[in-house]
Amino acid sequence: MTTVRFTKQDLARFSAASHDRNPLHISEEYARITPYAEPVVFGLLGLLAGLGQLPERPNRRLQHITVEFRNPLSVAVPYRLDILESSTDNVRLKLYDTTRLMMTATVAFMPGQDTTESMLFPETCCAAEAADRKKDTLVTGTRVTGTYAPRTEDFAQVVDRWRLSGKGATPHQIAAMMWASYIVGMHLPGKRAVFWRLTLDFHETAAHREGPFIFDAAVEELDERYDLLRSVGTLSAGSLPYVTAHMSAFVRQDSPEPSLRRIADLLPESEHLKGKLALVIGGSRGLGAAITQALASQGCSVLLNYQQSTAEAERIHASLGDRSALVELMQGNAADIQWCLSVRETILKQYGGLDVLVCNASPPIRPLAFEPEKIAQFQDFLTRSLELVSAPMSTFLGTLAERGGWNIVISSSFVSELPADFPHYVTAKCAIEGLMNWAAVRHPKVRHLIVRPPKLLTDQTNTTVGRQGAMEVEQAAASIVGHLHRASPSPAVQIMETF
Amino acid sequence: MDLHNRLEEVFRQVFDNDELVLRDQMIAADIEGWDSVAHINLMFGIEQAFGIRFKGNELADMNNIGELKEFLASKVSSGVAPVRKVHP
Repeated sequence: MTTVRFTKQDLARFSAASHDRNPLHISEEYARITPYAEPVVFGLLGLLAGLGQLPERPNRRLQHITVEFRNPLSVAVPYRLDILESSTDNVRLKLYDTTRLMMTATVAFMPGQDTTESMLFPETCCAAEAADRKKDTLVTGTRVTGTYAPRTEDFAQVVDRWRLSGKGATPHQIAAMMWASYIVGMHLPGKRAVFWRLTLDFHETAAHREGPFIFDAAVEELDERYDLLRSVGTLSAGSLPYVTAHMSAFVRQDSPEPSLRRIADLLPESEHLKGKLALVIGGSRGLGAAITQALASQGCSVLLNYQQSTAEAERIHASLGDRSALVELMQGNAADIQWCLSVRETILKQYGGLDVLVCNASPPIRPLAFEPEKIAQFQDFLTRSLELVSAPMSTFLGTLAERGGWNIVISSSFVSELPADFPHYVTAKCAIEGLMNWAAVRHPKVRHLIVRPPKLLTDQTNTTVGRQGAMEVEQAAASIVGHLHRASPSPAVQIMETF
Repeated sequence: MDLHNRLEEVFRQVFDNDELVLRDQMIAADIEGWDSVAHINLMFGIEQAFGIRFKGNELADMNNIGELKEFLASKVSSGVAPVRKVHP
């Protein structure tokens, strides 16, 4: 069995070699607020890793490649590579994460390797920053032209790292693959790209060895149903076409940010919660941010906890206008019991007690197979999920009881829907609900609310597929906060499933 | 290749299962790996193989494979579906 694994250094090296500087692949800060939560491996790097595992192919060169990037590849994950050779010149590559197909490629070779091709490329000027093109600017015919050559030193390191020499892809053909990554990641569509499919047809022409390649690429169509951009491009050596590329990439939309105006439409401003104090764990993004806004809109003072998203927390604070004085930002790790205890001390000293605890934070939610190879990630997710609820809940149940306050946890409709790829998430939410059931019996003076929203439109679901049928966070937040001043006291834990 | 076989070939490619056999009563839950990502791949795969274009998420509204086949048969025979350029 062949296994391939990528490192952050691999990503940095491929980026330097190809000039594809799309931040989704190289910036942890940028990737953190995308659905992928961490830098994604360049799709073309996955293909090169696969090609490097092929046997030696003397006197052959590439004729055609079709590759589909079915799921995003992550750093440090061991992927299984299956190689199926249907004939001497036809190969199929499949990359799996346990049983999940991540990438599939069909590759055709032809006679005629050009052994004289050099790995020395001329220096050329490429875009320094990925273009940020929104859907409406990507009209049919939108065109980019220029010169291209990979960066020689890094190119050689990529070829060496993945043992690509002599495998049937000549240096200039590898350069052409890098160019396709550059076009999609930097230009068409650029920063918002999620590469899905590529076909490359290599022409008989030997690549020009003097100057850089010349390229011409244009938008064929934007498929509005799924925001899929289809582009076609040609890379030429001198005046002769060297490769024709058909490239398909999804165009990611802006991160959704909750709107105070939308909340006001659903839950008119009031002073129902004036004089109350809430602590929202994970309050800077998504549903937590909308709950913060909704609480403040009802006159409630809010301690907005966040761990890393300082800019997002400050934006939510600023969005509150006149009511921003009600919100105080509290950076810290809510899974850390020492942090929770220090916050409790502050609350007791400054406010006398707490009225509402909202446990909304969760580790990033990515699909995970329930397989022996993934059990460490499964267990880690459970531990981290439970820490983010158990630490604050154990700290604040006492003070909530003194004031007849609310203990709210954000669960999910997944606990009953049981989707195939989220066994870790379902298990974590069921465990958290179990803790709530225990708390309802042991702390009857606290009102306990389990919220089971359906799929919500947040950073984590902001993909072409994920957006389909997702509920806006404002609607869920308005229902939750509206419930606080409408609900009658109940000794049992309450479950909210309709919004 | 008839419609059933052509459709089966698309399913086998999308779901990476050369043993997959389509039956008219099959629904999404009967096919391992039919998640939202596979759904998009399937939609584009069918469009490419049959030269048709679904309206919105029309594919999701079909109750089973039999309905999908009837839909494809009507589109292919009537010729009303706009055939777009298909890349190799």
